[in-house]
Amino acid sequence: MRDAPLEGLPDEELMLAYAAGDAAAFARLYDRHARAVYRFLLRSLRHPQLADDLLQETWMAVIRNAAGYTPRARFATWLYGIARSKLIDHWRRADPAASLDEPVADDPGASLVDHIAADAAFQPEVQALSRAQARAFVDAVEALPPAQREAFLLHAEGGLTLDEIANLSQVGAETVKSRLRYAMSKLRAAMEDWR
Amino acid sequence: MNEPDAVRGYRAANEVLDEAPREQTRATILAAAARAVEARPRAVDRVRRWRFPLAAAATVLIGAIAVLVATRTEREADKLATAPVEAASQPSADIYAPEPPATAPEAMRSYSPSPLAERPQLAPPVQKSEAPAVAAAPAAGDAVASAEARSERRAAAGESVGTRAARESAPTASAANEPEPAQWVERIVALRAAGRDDEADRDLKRFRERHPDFKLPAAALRKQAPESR
Repeated sequence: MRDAPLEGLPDEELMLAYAAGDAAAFARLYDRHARAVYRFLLRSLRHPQLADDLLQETWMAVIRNAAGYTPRARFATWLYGIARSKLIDHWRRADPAASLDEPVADDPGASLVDHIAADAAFQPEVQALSRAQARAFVDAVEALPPAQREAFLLHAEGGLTLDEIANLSQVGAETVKSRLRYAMSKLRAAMEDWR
Repeated sequence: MNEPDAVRGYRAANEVLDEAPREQTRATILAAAARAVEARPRAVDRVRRWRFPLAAAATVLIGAIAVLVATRTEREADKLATAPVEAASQPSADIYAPEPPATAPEAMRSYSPSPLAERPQLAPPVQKSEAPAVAAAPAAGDAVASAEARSERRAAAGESVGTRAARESAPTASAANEPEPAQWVERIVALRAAGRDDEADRDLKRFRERHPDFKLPAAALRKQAPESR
């Protein structure tokens, strides 16, 4: 009953409502984003328990920072930024030299849309994906180089734009575009096997 | 813009795999969120509840500190004020000494550590009866000599105000508690009657300096008869 007026509210307003003391608004936000953030963490870690722990840390950080929240950017950008920080912290604890950045050959002349535009040829296979194929595809995502995987997941799970990903990763938009292009290319190659 | 095929394929794979965080994680996070919301107003209530008791306690504390400071300041002022009186008491033995009494004001000046000390109203009352008692003692000359020696030693050692204040209770004569002229004359007469004419002469000399217009009885002037003419 109380959730009904919250249903159509954008994320930012839900977060402000929670900051003002509405716990139901937070529950709505959690249900809206928790699965996608969990998958973002799971694909990066390949460990469900760890993904669960970092998901909890991410949302606890949201709770702690709720009072000072100001919607300067989309809530999703803020949320994935926190999740990414938790991920980096985890990797640094495990391997202090770990880094998401890797040298990627850039191709400024090509448009991202050109490279990742929908290919009608794949449409039927995507719709008729079996569990084994789905697992194989996710494995291919998880096997991507970290920086490409991160760019792909932020785009596919969080719906972040090129600029938002670039801002979050503190790299140029062209670099993000290049990473995405390489990721899409590898994933398309993995999908070829389904044909 | 059409969704890229890889993204569509990925989302379709997610649908099939249906991976989700544990339900326990959701319960933990939502409980923490609810606790955080409840804690915020409670913190405000706590501040509100203790605001007046804290203000009252702070007022009492500040008042107590102010009283303590005022008391201490007053006590310090009293100590300083007693210093010149004591200092002035040092040459008091000079009543029986050969030096002129002019040393008394000098001593007062040298023992005045602050303007406060010059305020006469802060000085405690002196006991006038002590000086004649000492004067009547048979060993008055010895007492005078030892008093002078003490005075010099103290001046040389630069005694502190506290030390001098501690010595206040000791019986001392001072310029301020010189006897009344009539009593003084009686004392001189008594010295002559006892045959201590040298001391009587010194005392008489000082008396005349202090009270040049006082008419002296013959008993006090016996050895000074030629001068009185």
